[in-house]
Amino acid sequence: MKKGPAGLLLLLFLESLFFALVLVFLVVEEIIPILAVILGTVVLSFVLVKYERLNAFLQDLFSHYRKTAVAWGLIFVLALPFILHDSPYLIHLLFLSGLFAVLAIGLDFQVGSTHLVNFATAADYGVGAYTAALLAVNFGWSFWIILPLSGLAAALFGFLLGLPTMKTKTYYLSLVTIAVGLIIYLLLNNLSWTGGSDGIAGIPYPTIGGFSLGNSVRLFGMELPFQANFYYLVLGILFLEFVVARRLYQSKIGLAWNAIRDDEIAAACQGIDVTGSKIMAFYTNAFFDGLAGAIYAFNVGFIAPENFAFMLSVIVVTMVIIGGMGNVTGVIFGAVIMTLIPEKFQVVQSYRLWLFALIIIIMLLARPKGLFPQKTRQYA
Amino acid sequence: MDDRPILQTRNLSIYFGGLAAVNGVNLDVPYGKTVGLIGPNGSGKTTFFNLISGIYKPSDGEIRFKNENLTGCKSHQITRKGMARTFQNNRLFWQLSILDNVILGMYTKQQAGLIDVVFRYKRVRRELAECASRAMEILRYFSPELSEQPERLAADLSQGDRRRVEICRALASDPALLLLDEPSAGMSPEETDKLMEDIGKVKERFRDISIILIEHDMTVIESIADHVFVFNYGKKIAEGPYADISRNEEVLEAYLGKEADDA
Amino acid sequence: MAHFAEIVFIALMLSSTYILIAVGFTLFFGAIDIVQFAHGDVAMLGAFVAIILYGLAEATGMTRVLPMVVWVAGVIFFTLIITGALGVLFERVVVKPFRKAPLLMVLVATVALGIIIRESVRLFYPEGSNPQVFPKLFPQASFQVGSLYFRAEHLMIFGISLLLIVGMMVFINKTKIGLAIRAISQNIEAASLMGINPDVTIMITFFAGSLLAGIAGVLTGTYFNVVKFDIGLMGGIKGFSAAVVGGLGNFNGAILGGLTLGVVETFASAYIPGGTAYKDVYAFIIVIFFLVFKPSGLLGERVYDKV
Repeated sequence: MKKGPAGLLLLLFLESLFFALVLVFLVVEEIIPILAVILGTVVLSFVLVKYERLNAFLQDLFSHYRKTAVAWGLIFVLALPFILHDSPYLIHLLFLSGLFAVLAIGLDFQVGSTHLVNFATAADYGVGAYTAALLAVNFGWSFWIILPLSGLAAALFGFLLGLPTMKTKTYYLSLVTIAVGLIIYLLLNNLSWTGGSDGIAGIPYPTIGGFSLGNSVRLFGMELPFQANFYYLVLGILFLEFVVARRLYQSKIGLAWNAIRDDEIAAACQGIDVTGSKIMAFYTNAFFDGLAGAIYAFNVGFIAPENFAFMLSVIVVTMVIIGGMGNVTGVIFGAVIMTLIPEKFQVVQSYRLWLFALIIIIMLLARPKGLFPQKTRQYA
Repeated sequence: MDDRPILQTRNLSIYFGGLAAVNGVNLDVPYGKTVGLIGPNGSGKTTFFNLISGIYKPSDGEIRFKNENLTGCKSHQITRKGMARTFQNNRLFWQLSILDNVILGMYTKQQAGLIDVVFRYKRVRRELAECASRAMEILRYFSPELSEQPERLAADLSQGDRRRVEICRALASDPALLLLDEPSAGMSPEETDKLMEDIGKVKERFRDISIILIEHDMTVIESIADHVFVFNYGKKIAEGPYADISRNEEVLEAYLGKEADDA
Repeated sequence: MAHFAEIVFIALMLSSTYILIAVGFTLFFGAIDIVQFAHGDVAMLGAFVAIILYGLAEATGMTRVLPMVVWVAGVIFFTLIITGALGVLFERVVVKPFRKAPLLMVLVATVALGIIIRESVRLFYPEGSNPQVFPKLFPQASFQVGSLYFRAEHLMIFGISLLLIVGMMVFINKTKIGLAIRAISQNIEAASLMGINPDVTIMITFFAGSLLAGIAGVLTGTYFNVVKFDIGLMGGIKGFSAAVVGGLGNFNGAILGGLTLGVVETFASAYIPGGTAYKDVYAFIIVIFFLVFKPSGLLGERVYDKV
């Protein structure tokens, strides 16, 4: 195994190659190069799986220089709006990917760690978004106050939803979450104070100091479109959630979730309050969904029930299944590729759902643990 | 040391459909002793364990643990009071490592909650590290080979190793009462000897522990049980030292033709 | 406001649909402890299959040459067979591979299957996203009882549905194959030791359940005159709810649950102001109530975990 400067340079080179590939994928519009990139990635992953030694070598390299690799990756992620400053649409796409990543990490608490089937993500998300919208439009409060309130509102909703339903078996729970999602959708569509099917419009852009996030921003001598502001905002929330998720997994809470996943009865016999743990998975998930909902509401300025339909929940479930159950980085990856790839195939836009569902089934049959399965816990 | 029994049941019963799987059982488990629970298949032994560990809710009767009425309590509440158990068909957390399994045995001793995880993570990390080292200690004491590869997944273990990890997990919570459900099932004579040794180690390290042991292998019962209860058709039909009950008419009749190995 | 008797009839028709779908859910759950979330979409496929078969019959002139009884019976018969076969196909592809896997897998996989079915119809059937006119399979007469009007076609399809439900009951309870199905619900290993082929029995179960779903599709098409690609989503959820309310795994429970849901929904939307917009909400509130307070359902047995 190479140590010393040679290894470090190799790592940086490989990472930069990967970033270049990502940029090409983002920027190019013709279908052929896009397909080439996707095909190349698939081939590459097969190669990695087949050649154990190559795989092991890369893993070693990465974990040896972990801090540098992560730092370099962070620099790339932060620099993206600068690189793409001419393409506000692409930055907006990245913003959406980040939003979905927030939803997916939260859902992983339930689906990935605890194997609870939850199809109500859209409901939590919607509660967060509508709370934000109603507070903004009716009271004019600042975004920064509304944000945590939306999270709390969604968390309360998640808690109330979890409370009576956590005693039920998995298959009943799936039905309940689907039903609740549909009820929320129906209520949003029919209640007058939620604006009915027209939704709520006129949500202003957030401001910091005097600066509105709706304006383009000048950073390091470069003019970035306003979408970059939201991109950085969602990155901040994502970062927070990432830290919280990692901590949850490496704690008695995460251990309890996994225990419940593997054997509920044995888990109870270790002293785990199974119902309480499940409810906690619900409201921690819901909290972040609510934050995402608020950010979404303030980004698009107007929300309607159709943004919070059952399909959204299914899409987020796909992201978790593809990315890797119980693996936070994997789930982020799943969210990003599942947001970006369909956007690239504009010609197949109407096939999007169909493809999603097909991918779910293929993934479940071929690689049920996801692209990046959960890693075994390490104790120093 | 206590004179009072660690566990008492009075008229404990459970009905499935119209059938009484456990029928009016009165039992006193003396403090600090190892008691055997024997009886033909289907006599209600495991159901009895499920009742006292809170997995089933009794249809009738009372359960007192450490002189506290725990009838109808849920498993996690009972475990927190100091009871731990193993299962007839090994219920480990298959997708978790050996070490994680044993650490989970200590769940009741861990304090860190959601607030700590989010805001005071150092505390969580420290607590977890302590649990990890305690878990390693238990593993080393009972199974040095297992302690060398603590990150192996439980699903990858051999049957004997699985048993051992399950016992380690049960002991991790430092229980007052340990329930062992057929620990020697499927074991060869050599493995059974090792098992008896292990149980001896348990009693040595955990001096005041009380153990209830469901067993079909009478050599195990004979050598380690201080007292034996015999079940048949959900009822307790006899109790006493092994020497006595192995000569008891009713006990022999219950087993006659059902077990090939007796005494 | 419609006449009370008419409302009762509507409730009966709706209940029949729910019962037909609920029976499938309950049979599948009873046999192999799974929930096939795309079962409602199988019913939708039944309706579309009927439309296609009718189109074929018309195009080949059979509707003019043969007596109505014959070609209608033919269309319905083959709809049932094809829908049943589709149900088995789905089981082979999306349920069987997950038999030993955690329940999460088959739940998510069948939800995905439902999406594929719906989207396939929407994308690949001509004008798939629009409502499709359902053919008139029955005489269009209507007759009067007192001051009430009833349509012959509603009564006929209701009668056929009833017949099939009763037939299924007899099948399950009185035939050898039905016995095999009940045996594998109890204990699949013991059943196979007794010489029952569990795999074949499972396929038969799925055929039977999907067949009933097929008639549910025809019932829906006949009653509403149009069908759309997405009717299976709600239908399936309601059917599953009905099975749960009655007691999942319990055949009589499916009937009782279907009745309960149909009656509640019809009467609530008829008599509670706010009406039909919220009709789905009423049904779901009932379901959630049961799941929370009595998950074993009205008639279900309390299942103990095997420890």
